[in-house]
Amino acid sequence: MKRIALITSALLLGATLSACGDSASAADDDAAGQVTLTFGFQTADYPALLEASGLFKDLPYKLETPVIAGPAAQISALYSKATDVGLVGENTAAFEAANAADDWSKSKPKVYTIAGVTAKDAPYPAPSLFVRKSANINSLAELRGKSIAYNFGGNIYAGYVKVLANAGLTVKDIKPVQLPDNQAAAASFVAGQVDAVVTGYANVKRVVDSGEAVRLATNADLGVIGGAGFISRPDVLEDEARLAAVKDFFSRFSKFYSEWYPNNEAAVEKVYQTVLKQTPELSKINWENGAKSRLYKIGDPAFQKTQQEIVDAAFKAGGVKNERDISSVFNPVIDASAVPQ
Amino acid sequence: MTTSELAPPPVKEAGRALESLAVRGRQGRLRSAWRGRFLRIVVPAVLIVLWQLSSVLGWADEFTLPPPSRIIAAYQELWANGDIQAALPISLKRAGTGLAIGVSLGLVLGLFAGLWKIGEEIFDAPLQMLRTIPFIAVVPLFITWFGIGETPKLVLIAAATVFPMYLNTYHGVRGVDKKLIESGQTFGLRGWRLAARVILPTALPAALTGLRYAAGVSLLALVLAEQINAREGIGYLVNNANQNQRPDIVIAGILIYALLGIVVDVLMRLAEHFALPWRPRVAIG
Repeated sequence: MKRIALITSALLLGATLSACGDSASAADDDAAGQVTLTFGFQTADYPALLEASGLFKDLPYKLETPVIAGPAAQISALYSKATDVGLVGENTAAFEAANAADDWSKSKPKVYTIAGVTAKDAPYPAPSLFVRKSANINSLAELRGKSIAYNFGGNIYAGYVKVLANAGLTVKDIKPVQLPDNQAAAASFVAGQVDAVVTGYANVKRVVDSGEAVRLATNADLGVIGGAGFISRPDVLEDEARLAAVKDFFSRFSKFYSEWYPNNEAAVEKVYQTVLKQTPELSKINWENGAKSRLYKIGDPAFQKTQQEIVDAAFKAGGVKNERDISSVFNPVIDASAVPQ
Repeated sequence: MTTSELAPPPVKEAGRALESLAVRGRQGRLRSAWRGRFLRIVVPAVLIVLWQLSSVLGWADEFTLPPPSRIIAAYQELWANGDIQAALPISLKRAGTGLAIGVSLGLVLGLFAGLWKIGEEIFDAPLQMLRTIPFIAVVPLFITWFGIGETPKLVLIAAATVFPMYLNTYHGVRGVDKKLIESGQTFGLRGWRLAARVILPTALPAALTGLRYAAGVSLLALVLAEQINAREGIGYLVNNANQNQRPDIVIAGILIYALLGIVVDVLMRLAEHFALPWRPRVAIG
């Protein structure tokens, strides 16, 4: 009996371990030698929009666009080589560097930010700080003692730590309310559970439009670029064929934002409504913001300075473990070929 | 007047009394059955009316609590776009496959740990530790280990369903009355024959309870599993609606889960009914 039990235990463990090795690698290319570029997006509208634009047809490589929600899952997918490039916040790689066990400014970064897209002069800038009128907050300094909702990671957290830094406050001076995601943070604000929130206008539109809440600071006021960042691994960028595919993708992506998106409101809103189930009102807000989106140069020293300030503020707020120079995570490998001058 | 003229024969009277009791019993059971049916329909109906009224009378705004009319409109939208038709088969397939893997593993491990001391020594402590892991926290790890295809989704569902099956089977086997085992041994049953004839049939009710619970858990795990590179599925619909401020679709998705939960439970009850025909059905009142 004992022998049977031991053999079965060994088989079960073997089966479990073999299942672990089942994950497909994004680095696997097809038999003909054609490169497969696996680009992880966080929402299903992106693949649908890329297809609708027609700009990504007849690619000299195979493009796969899995949808992986959340920055943590995107980073996991990238590290495990399930993806080659992932969409996150513009500061995600910088936060990774500040949380890493070793100092990436002295060793090779394990992940790079290679591109960023933001909606400068957007009609609904995000992230922004919204406050309830009943809380009687008229300046950042008056946040002292008030409750502020936010979610960890990404632009919202960057906005939150910059609110504290710009107000000259620490987390001990306020009542921080960390929630699992942006929607939960906004919902707590709309329900009147907190005095302030760092989020986008669309999430708190109802209370802002009704006059119950106002916007106190925008991303520009806070020194946060906003928008999205794109991360990749060193081995992807060191592989010539794959790097060529990345550069080609971003050249088309740049054209997608500067030419196709602003001129195809109906097509974009249709995707938002059918794929994401957004209401016509919300899809219009998102199109109006997205129409202003453009790729920017991440090699720009001014941009990197704002990123350093955000990471420093996050360190003071206890959001990252180390105070580090994070400039090495910005790899401007596509700046010249894809970003408009 | 003789005694026989004053009182009816005692046997006849007892018969009538018994008959009357039986009629009253039947009427009572009938009343109870109709009351049950009535309450099962009326209570949800009253709740739905109150729900709609809360919106009509302005007790709750439509965004905080979308009324049933909005939920019906959301179903119409999802149906017209083909979302429900596409999501249901995919989700059921994922839940069913993950459940089958998890339940098989849980059953084998539960029997092992229950029947053999060495099985308990090998598997019980690790499984007790693993079952307390919050699955939402391991989604990124599962992506690292199993990639972004169907594997991590199925592993997540299987991992969530293995524990209820294991625990119930293990306790079912361990809880077998010692006198039954001794009786079996008296009749010469040993080893596999004792397990197959006495222990396993006696542990079956507990194992089926585990299966019933695991079936429900498989549906819950779908929401998490369908966060990983999913573009179809009920979990995906709910997650997507949550991110895009569509509480009506979120509630519509939750109601689909509730409905699936009821269907699964009915199927499990039927399975129990056929697998355990000897089990008494006890209820007070």
